[in-house]
Amino acid sequence: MYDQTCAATQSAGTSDLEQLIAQVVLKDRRAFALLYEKTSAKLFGICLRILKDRSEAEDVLQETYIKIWHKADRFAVGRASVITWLSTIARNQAIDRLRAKGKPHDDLADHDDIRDLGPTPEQATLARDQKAQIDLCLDQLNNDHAFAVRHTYLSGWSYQQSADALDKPLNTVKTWIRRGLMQLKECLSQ
Amino acid sequence: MTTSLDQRDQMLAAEYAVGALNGDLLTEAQKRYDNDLAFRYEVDGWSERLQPLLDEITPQEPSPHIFGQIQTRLNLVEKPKESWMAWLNNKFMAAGLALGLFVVAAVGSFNLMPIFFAPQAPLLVAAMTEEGQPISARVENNNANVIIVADLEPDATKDRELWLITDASPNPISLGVINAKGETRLDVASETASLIAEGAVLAISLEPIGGSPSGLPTGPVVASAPLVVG
Repeated sequence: MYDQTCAATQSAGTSDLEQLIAQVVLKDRRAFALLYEKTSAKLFGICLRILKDRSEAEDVLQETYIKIWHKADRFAVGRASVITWLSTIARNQAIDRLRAKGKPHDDLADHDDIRDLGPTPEQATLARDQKAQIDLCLDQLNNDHAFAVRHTYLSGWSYQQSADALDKPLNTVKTWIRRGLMQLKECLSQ
Repeated sequence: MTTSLDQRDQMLAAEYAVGALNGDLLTEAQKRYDNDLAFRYEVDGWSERLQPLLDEITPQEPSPHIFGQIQTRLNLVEKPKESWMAWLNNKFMAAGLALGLFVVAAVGSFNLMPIFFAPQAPLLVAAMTEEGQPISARVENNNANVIIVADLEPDATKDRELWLITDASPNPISLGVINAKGETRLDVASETASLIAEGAVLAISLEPIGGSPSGLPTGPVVASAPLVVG
């Protein structure tokens, strides 16, 4: 349907996404379709990671794009890049769903993949640099702190889920994550 | 800009961005994000900082029909739907719907079809009428069957064919030819079964004996009604 345009923007960077969002603010359906083409796999990956259930993740993905359509004009209010803004909506929707279900955390074994990371093929150099930097900073944290921060963020764990998963008291894990975040901020701003 | 946030609020912003909050604190953070610009900037700063971690997550393709559903929910579906809805004729639809609702009530009170109201899981039904004569449809077996009950005059030269009209498909989908009198049990193809949902429309058109040769409706629509939870 929109293959041609899509191919033309296949290697689109941030500015192309910004252009698309600007058009979506004006209720441009075609731009919305393109935005979906270019970002849905990433956002679906995020939803799936948090919810671990394909049909639920697809449900949340729908809600995510419905929100994007309605709230595109709010994008300019914030200070996030497009992909961060989109990812945040997906993450928040998925986390809301997860919390609403009160779904128990899953086994740590499910997350072994996090410890040995594969390459991130489609990422641009800048993204790789940023990723390398945050990895470097996380490496400087205490292992447990880094682990808790990573999982809380990537898997949508609450403090309680993190505490259960790590088999530590809630307050201990809270302290770890808070300390971890503060150290991370400092490291990344250097 | 963020200097107006005290330490507690800065922490709250970080915890909100990382996604660790629950309950009241989560609600508070959500409200602050929407209404407090300094707080929002602080959260956005964190989201931006953490964003590169998301590159660890392998992108996954959602099912191909998802975008269609999003478009439908947002009412963005273009031409095909409109032309087929026009085919259904707005005036006819309005009258059909009003009559249909009346017929559901009537059928219930006269108890013509007790199974219609059997206490089961929510059942999708459509109450159509052809020139005032009720034609009831109900969906069974996880959408694998559509059962039609009618009491109409048979037509020696035409068959009545049942169609499913849904935003998820650009064209009406044939569900099969129905009997003018009594019950017709139609088997639904599995790819069609997934498209049967509340709000989709059932319609009956007059077609050559044996059904439309083209796979698309050719004759006039004599009845239609939306599927509703019975």
